[in-house]
Amino acid sequence: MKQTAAFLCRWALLFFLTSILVFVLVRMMPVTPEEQWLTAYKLPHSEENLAYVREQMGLDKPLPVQYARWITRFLSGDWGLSLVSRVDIRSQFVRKLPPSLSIGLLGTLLGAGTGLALGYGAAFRRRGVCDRLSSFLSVFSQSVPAFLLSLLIIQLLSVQLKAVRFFTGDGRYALLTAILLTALYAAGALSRVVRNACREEMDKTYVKFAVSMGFPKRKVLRSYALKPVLCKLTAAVSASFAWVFGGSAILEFAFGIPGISYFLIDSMKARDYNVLQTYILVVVIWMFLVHLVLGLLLRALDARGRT
Amino acid sequence: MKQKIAAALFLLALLPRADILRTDVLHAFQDCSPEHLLGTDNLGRDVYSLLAEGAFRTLTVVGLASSLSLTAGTLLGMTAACSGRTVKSLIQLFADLTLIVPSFISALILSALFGFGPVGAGLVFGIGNIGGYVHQAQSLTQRLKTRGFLEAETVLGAGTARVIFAHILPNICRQLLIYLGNKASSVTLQYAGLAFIGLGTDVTSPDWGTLLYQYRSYLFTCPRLVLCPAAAICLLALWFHVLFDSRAQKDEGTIYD
Repeated sequence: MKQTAAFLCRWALLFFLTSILVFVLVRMMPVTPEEQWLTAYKLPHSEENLAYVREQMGLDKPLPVQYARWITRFLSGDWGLSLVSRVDIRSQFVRKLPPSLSIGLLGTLLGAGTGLALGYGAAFRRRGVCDRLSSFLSVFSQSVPAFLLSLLIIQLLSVQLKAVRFFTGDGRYALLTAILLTALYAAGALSRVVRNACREEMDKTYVKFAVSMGFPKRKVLRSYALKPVLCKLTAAVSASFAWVFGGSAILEFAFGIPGISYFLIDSMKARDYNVLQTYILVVVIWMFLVHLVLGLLLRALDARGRT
Repeated sequence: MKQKIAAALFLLALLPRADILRTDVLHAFQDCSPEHLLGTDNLGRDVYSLLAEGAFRTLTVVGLASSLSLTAGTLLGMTAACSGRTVKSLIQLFADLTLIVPSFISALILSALFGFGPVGAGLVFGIGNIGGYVHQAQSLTQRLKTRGFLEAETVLGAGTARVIFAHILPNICRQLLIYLGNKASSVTLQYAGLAFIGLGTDVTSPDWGTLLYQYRSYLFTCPRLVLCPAAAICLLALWFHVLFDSRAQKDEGTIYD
């Protein structure tokens, strides 16, 4: 109970700190929002116009009042309008979230599954095929940028072989490739985590005992040592969800997938700060949900954490 | 071996470079020659000079980011492990704050808003990575604190600062440097990605990512143009990985081997 309260308090605090940071950041922009607004509507930047827009947007009020208004509106579900297209941001986000989330979630889950299988294989036989493959994958994902690989795939499959259309049609091949690439990049590091966790468990007394008693070696590792390995994997996955947004931004850009990160990149060109503020808060909420679910999973796996 | 590679790279950096802003369309797409070591690009610019300039920019980013996050993260992490609950939770809150928005996204946003070069990118990546170093340093210190020799030092009357800098730091250094190697290669890739997307970055500045974006359509007509910056990114990232990650890690046999 106390842990849950502390967890919720921490995330509420993180949410408000991040929102204050974004709020301050937007106020520090070299071009003020009212100038931006007038530019977007191709109106002259005269004193009267600026004053009028400032009053309309509520920018003449003191900063704490502005912040309170913005954050209460956000929490009650009114996310404001896009400065450029005058479309409701929330409906835009609701439409663009599914591709981004499927890249992040499915990609990472697929990567974690592959990593688990590969890591187990690698732990069983040192310097075997699986061990070398997982080692190669982890170095590969650290040294070859994702956008380079996507360029190659697009040029090869789409331009040269003309087998797949990425930028026309319903874009399902683009989404599929992005998910697979995310999984590939996640699998490398995660398989090393699983392998090292397995090696650590293999040296523990209970495993030695079970193997000496004559239980099959594979069964011991697969059933008795599963929980501690899964715990380490879960912790590693929750850390890797953080870069899923960064990674998916590049993939969405490379494949032209209409997700929220591509929306952000598009809106940043016009310095649409309404979209920017909302995007950051959505990222925070998403990270909160990820940590909530993975934290619950970790508690279910590891009895020692319960009080 | 590592030193030889470093020396070779240093010598390469000393080679004379052509003016990267001068275009020469009459001599576009030239092959490698003594005059143009790696040939010329679609505008007749010398590819080698572009790459060297890009290397300088990338190294600035990586150097700034790594030194900033290593120093701040290690200090904060060790302090957190050695102090009371209030300080510890404050430091952890700060670490979580830096981790919550991926540093790639913050760099993307800040570069779009303020339009910065390598120094700005280095600072943003540096701040964004502090959280990871804090967690690493803290857990390593925590593990070390259970060992007897630290207790003995405290009993003998050594102050907290002395324990931290003379005993804990040398012991966790090795692990932290391995982490540094991983992070340095990831910063290399992220900076390349940032330049590839190209928000707020100067398109005339020859970052490796920018070059890749400009040359992407010549992948099959003139593969050299794409291969050069791609190889540069991969090799630098790989080099950071190898430089700090000693292969001689202990992997003792278990009952399974």
